Amino acid sequence: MLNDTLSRLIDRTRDALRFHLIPWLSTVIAVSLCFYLLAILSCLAATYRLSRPSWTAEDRATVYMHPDICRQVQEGLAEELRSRPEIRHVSLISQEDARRRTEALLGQWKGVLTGLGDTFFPPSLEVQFQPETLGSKNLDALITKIRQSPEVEDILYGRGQSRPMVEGTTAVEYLWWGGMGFAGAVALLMLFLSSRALILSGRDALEIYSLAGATDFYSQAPFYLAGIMQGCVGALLAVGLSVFSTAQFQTVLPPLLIPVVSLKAWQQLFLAVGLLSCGAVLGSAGTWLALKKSA
Amino acid sequence: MTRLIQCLHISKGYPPADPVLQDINLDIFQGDFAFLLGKGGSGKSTFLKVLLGLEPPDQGHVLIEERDIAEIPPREIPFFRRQLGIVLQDSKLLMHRSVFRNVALPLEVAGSGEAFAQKRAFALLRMLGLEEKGALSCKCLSASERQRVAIARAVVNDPVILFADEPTGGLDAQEARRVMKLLEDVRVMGTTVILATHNASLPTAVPGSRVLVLHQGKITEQTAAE
Repeated sequence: MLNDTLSRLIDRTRDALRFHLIPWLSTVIAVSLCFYLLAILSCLAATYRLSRPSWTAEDRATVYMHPDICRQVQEGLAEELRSRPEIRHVSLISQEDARRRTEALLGQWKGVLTGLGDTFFPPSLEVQFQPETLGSKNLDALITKIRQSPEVEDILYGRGQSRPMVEGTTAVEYLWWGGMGFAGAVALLMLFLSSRALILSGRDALEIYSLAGATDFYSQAPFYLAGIMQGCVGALLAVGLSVFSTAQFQTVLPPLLIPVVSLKAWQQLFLAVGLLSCGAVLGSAGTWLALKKSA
Repeated sequence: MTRLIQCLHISKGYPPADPVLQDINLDIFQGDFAFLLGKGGSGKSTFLKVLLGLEPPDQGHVLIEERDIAEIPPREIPFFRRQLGIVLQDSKLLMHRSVFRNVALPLEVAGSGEAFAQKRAFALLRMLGLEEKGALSCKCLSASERQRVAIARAVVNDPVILFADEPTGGLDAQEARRVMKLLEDVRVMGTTVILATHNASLPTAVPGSRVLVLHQGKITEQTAAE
């Protein structure tokens, strides 16, 4: 019985799509492009916070020293800072370490560093504060005191530095969410229009089914199936396209930016499941709207 | 005789101030073959739609098996329609589907198994002389054959009442006789038939039938066909 029901549903869906295959496939491609945009923006939104540099964290500071300072002075300042109750951890970064790190970050783009002297890579101290001291006046006073030390050239204090950056990234994230909403709305509109065309061309069949005593669910099921299939096939194409394109991006982008676009296996799975669900939901929502509009 | 349909003071107009049907009172009994006779635009199709519950009357009530059809909840309407057979002038077939699948449609929507639907549809097609054409698409059929397929579809689930709106419209005399013979057979099998037509000679093809003449919105004459 279930077999009969399923094969009849598939038959009726095939009947409904019979004269609409090309518009249906065109909509699938258009929807997949919207989903692709949605996927790329959601990946960027998801990885952007994760890939934010550690020094922008609120409990971090980087103390840049004069390039000509010797190792002993650097160690002396580090020792002094370690003795402070507000400070949790201090690590020393030499000029060689700084250059090596920067080169590693730039990868194949490291050539841009050629010709830059050691002054471009000053020795530094990476400082992590005790979480409970964050925001206290003592800490602000300590930062000011460090900044005034003769061997210190500059200090990037995460709390102070990251605020404008966080505000900036929040604005970018809003833009991304807006873009994702726009892509979703365009996909829904296309699915709605495609379903509406399908329903209008099958209006006679709907009337015949209704006169034969079919329930609304029975008559409308092929349109829902066609809409859900459209959303899901579009989503699958978008998953393939986004996995392929992120892999391609990684071959040309500097390592600094790779974390922003690279997807781990679980992220790819999450993306696939998310987009497929999105396709199914938007497909059925588009069909529902089209049926309401055509009633 | 069991009363199957009762029309009580039915009025209907487009708009209501300009009535097509005026205060119609009518009883249809089980086993009747009733012709609803009237000129084009006299309100035959409107009356059938009101009887089928496809359009609500402006005034009055239609009772089928003592149940007011206006009070049937929307979710029960499909199940109510499964007791009725409907044949329209343009046959309303799914043209790209096979003859067999068109005939089996009411069984399909009622959830009957494929094997039962096949058996029942082929039995009817054999009765109609269309068993050779079961696998063909409806596009390949003549007008008369299409109308016979529509009748087969309407009776495949043994309806209590068969409504036919101009089923012989557009057919030549020989084809019309064939269709009328088929409808007569349907009545003999126990289905009540209500047939709307503008053809005044048609009732003579069915001895013992009732003729209901619809004129100026009223059923003005009720005679038995000779």
